[in-house]
Amino acid sequence: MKRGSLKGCLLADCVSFTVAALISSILVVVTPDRMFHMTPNYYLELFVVTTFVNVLMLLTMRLPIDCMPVNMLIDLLDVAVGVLGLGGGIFHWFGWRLGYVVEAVTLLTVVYFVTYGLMIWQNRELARQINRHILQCKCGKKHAAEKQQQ
Amino acid sequence: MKIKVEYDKQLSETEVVLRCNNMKDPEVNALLGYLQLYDGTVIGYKDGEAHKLFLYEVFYIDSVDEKTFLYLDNGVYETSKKLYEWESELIDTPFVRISKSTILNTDKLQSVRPTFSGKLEAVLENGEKQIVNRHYVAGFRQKFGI
Repeated sequence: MKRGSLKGCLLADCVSFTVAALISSILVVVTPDRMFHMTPNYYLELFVVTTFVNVLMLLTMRLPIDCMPVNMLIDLLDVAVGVLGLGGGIFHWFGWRLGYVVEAVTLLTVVYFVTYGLMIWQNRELARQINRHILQCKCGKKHAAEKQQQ
Repeated sequence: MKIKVEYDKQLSETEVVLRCNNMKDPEVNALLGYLQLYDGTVIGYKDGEAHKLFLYEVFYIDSVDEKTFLYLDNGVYETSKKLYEWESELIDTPFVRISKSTILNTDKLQSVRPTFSGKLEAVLENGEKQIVNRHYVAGFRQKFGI
């Protein structure tokens, strides 16, 4: 899946929302004094934030930068903008204390890397399909050449 | 699809007739693309001399410093056409844009492998490697019907 496409963005959004919701739910159960205020609207807000981050990534991916570390840094900045700007600023998920901010950004960074890993895994699958296609074409050409020689 | 080859000694050159019931069939368009590719010749310049080159021999077309080059097994040739002109001319052929500066002949592909940056690395039959940028992966995979 091409990460820079709308389809890729939608898939990344679905994956990141699922992962974020899963981690949030686990944290709520595991940690008694949870860092997030889990309002009834929390999951809707979470979806808005993951969608915002993925759309932001879709836009920043169009920047003509081919350096992988720089691209990842920009992606992480997108995550930070989404979490701090929307999550902290508009939805008031956490108070503006350093500890809360670090925890929130860490959580969404983990979500980013899990999503990224899944997208790479999908890229491997795409490469495998293309290689199979190339092999089939080469076999077909070889067969046709042999047939022509006969 | 039926393939029929007829031998006729009276023919002065090879003739290909494609019989189909739907001109919009992707298979028909792909075949036309291949025929166009095998019939196509281009002029490439090397050391001040003009050379007649077959398109199917081209591994990739690259643009560097506003100059466009054709990469073949036997060398690199400059061409007068711009990359965007090649791109529009080579629609429905095995050539596909893989980055801002490169058009690749998928017929010359040996294999592809994924990179950690979400791109694909294309290994050509001559051992050269080219990177398929994330922005062009969708078009690249379409060439393989995926």
